[in-house]
Amino acid sequence: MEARLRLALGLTTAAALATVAATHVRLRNPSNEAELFWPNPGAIGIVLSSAGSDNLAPGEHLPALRLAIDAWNRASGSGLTLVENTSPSAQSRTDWGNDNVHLMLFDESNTSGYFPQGSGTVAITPVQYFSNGRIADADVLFNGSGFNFTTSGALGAFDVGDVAAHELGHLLGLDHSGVAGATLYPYVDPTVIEHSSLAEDDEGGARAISATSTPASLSGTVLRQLDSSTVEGAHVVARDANGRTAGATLSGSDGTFTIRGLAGGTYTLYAAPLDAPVSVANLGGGQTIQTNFQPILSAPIAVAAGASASLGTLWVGIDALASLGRNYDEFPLRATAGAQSVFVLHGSGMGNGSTLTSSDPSVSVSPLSWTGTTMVTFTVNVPQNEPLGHVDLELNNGGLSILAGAIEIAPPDPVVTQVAPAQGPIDGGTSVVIQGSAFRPGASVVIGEQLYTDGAVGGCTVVDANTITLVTSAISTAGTYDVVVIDPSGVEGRAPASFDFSSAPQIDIVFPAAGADTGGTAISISGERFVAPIIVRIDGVVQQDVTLVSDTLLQVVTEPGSAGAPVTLEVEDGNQAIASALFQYTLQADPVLSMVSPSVGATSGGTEVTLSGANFTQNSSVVFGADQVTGLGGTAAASVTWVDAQTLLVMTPAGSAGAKSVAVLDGTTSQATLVGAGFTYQSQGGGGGGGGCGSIAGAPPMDAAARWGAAGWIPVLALLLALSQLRRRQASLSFVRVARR
Amino acid sequence: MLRPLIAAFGVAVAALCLCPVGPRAVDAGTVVRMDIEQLARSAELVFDGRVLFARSFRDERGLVRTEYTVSVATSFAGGPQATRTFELPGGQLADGSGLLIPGLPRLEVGEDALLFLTREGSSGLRLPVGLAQGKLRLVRDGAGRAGLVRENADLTLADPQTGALAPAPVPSVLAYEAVAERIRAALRPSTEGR
Repeated sequence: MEARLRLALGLTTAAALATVAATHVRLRNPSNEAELFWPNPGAIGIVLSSAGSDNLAPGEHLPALRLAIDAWNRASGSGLTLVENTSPSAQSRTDWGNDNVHLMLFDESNTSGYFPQGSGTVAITPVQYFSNGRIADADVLFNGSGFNFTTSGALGAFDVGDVAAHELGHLLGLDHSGVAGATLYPYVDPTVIEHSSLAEDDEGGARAISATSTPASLSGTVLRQLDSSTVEGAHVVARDANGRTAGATLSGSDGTFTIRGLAGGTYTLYAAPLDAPVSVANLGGGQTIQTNFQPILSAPIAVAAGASASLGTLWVGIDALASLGRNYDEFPLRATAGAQSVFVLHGSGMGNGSTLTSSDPSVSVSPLSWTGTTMVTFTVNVPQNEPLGHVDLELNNGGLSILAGAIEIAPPDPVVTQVAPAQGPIDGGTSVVIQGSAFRPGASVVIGEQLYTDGAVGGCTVVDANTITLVTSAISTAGTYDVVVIDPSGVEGRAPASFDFSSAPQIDIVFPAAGADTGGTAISISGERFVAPIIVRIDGVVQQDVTLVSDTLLQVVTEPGSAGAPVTLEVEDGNQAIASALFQYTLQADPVLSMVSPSVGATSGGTEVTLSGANFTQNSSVVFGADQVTGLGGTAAASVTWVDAQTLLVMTPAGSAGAKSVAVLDGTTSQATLVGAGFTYQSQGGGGGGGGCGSIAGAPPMDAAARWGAAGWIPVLALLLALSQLRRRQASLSFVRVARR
Repeated sequence: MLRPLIAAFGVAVAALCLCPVGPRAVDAGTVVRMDIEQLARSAELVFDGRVLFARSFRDERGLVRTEYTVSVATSFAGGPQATRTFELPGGQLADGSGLLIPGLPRLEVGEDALLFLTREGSSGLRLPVGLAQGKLRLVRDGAGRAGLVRENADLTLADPQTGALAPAPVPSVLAYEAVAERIRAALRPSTEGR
């Protein structure tokens, strides 16, 4: 397709003589052709700047960048590994030019100097190297001062994941690819968001840099049929037995080539001119590219896994008046399995009499119309369950033009239909079920700054094609976020604003849940994210006696209220965020517990104890060892005998050694009073110390004791215990006697 | 050999007008795609000439940059000067080490080129507007007629036997005068006083 005109002007020579290029195209030292390489490809450190883009929420850039990193790390058969350094000190660095840090950084004020106004540059990857090609440093810089970035397909902004995946290929040492569907294809269509999906050609490039095992390779020499002269810089492509694009390389100065990184199998090879839509200008330099020829498909050649095979000569024909693809066409042409897609391509030599076909016979291509000789509109039909990958397009008008990897067979987009629950605390820990369709193993979920990958620690689980589960991780900023399911191929499904990370206070338990309408009930409100200033309202009445004990506990002494149905208890923080629960005022006075006698008994239970106080009812129950804040847990008394409103006779249940709370609960009204460490269990083997008494001279009223929980009783009980220790010998007899009754 | 070149220029002029490029798509490493007018309007300096001198060195940050001196033949923007000296990021030092930026065009000493350069940033660096798009190589045929090779553009086709040209929406060889006129028009102040 290139012609004499080009030859008349001189070959498009970017630099000196080229040697054999590896799969696909490696970055080279322009002066000596040395391929650039990392000295430790299995552990290339990478740091994601925490600053992110000022177009995005804090941390929103991180999942997109991590997906791009993960895509390269997952390249089949490649030993390349990008290892993220997540230390806050590293993430706060901006000195990208330093050799000891490889940063992905949004340059929001052109501190790099690489984004002067009007540069038109969205992102670049400066690669510093030594003479032998060893990479000293490489960093990815996003032009935050000149462009907007998005992770949600916002119009007028560039997708962070797409740009990152491309630039990371450069960081690893790869140049641009002539395979239209490759991540390193030099032109990105912002309307096709496929994030970090790698083509086989990209993975071949990764394997060429570092392979975990010896892959198969095919070699040969590109010669012209016309005169057997060699062709330099031809784009040599391997197509597998299914017609899929499997790998590519450039021929060297003597026409020889070796396509590395292949799996064992049977391949058909061809050499195409690298002139459109990718040309020499897209390469970093070092290659001479000849383009005045047309491809001829070779005979199939088989190669065993890990073996090398030689094709001998790969012939090319005389230049043709056929050219398919232009750099303003939008690649990849994404065709969904099980669907029909319509595409437009530009070129030359088109028109009636031309044919347009795909390299995979199961993928049918049908031209709908030819517009002059420069444009074709066509349909692509892909059967259901067709394997994913890339397919070549062939234009034949008597001459042949092949566009390598033009069509990308992609799965259907995931669809997210429901996220439940739709809200959780900012500190994470919420179990979430995502429902939808087209979920595939290996999928990832992005919510806010967090990335959850199927099977990874702290990731998600793809239960089936319709269900994904995960437990949220903490995020830095409260808010409502999209829930995005990203297929391993890069296609995504998004449920906008579907999960709310809340920083609002949360009420877990109000204890007791009821109190006298006269007020004065000491209640504990346990929950999360209680931060001053705090306002507590019950039935709309602001409570005056509120103590913020911690970010998980509030203590309130109630104001008077109206008896009746349960009313709303609200906790409001300084951001006017409100958490709600229920509280009920009753006509009945709150129970008061003022004495427990004896206050010591056997762990086996059976101690008869007298509880003295006020407002006991026949509905009163007693619990030993309940949680002092929530009233939960503990063990109910073996028996409770109501003597009168001031007295209950209780038989202790069995319990473990130690001081336990004693709670008196009204089963009808949910009123309660609780004394922390009101009764102490002692093991019999240790010599019980019965006979102690929880009566305290000058003790505060029981409702006040409950207000302060255990704190008011601990010194008292410590005193009792000390006395008990002193009288242990005498008391033990009494204790045993009591216990045997 | 001359006939195809002349014909190519003609095709180029026609085809450029039809070129469906736009700022939406992006290019290279990663760059907004621009046409001639956009390149001209985004640049502070637009001129063509011959690269006389190149010197790579490490700046105060330790990063390699290259100072170029170009003998200016025609200046379209930035004022007339016989020579222009500017610094671009990247380059290669005498010891063989260097800094490579994929997508950034290379300038060779002795090469003739039309350049669209950004304004100078605080670090003293300019960049070709749109990276590789900001450099068009200047070539001449046997009769001395000038053409511009936009190396990342598509190619004009010619039959090797007949020399006949095939239509191409974006030729690789642009007629110099046509491009020059487009630049001048793009830089001409609007009659509406914009």
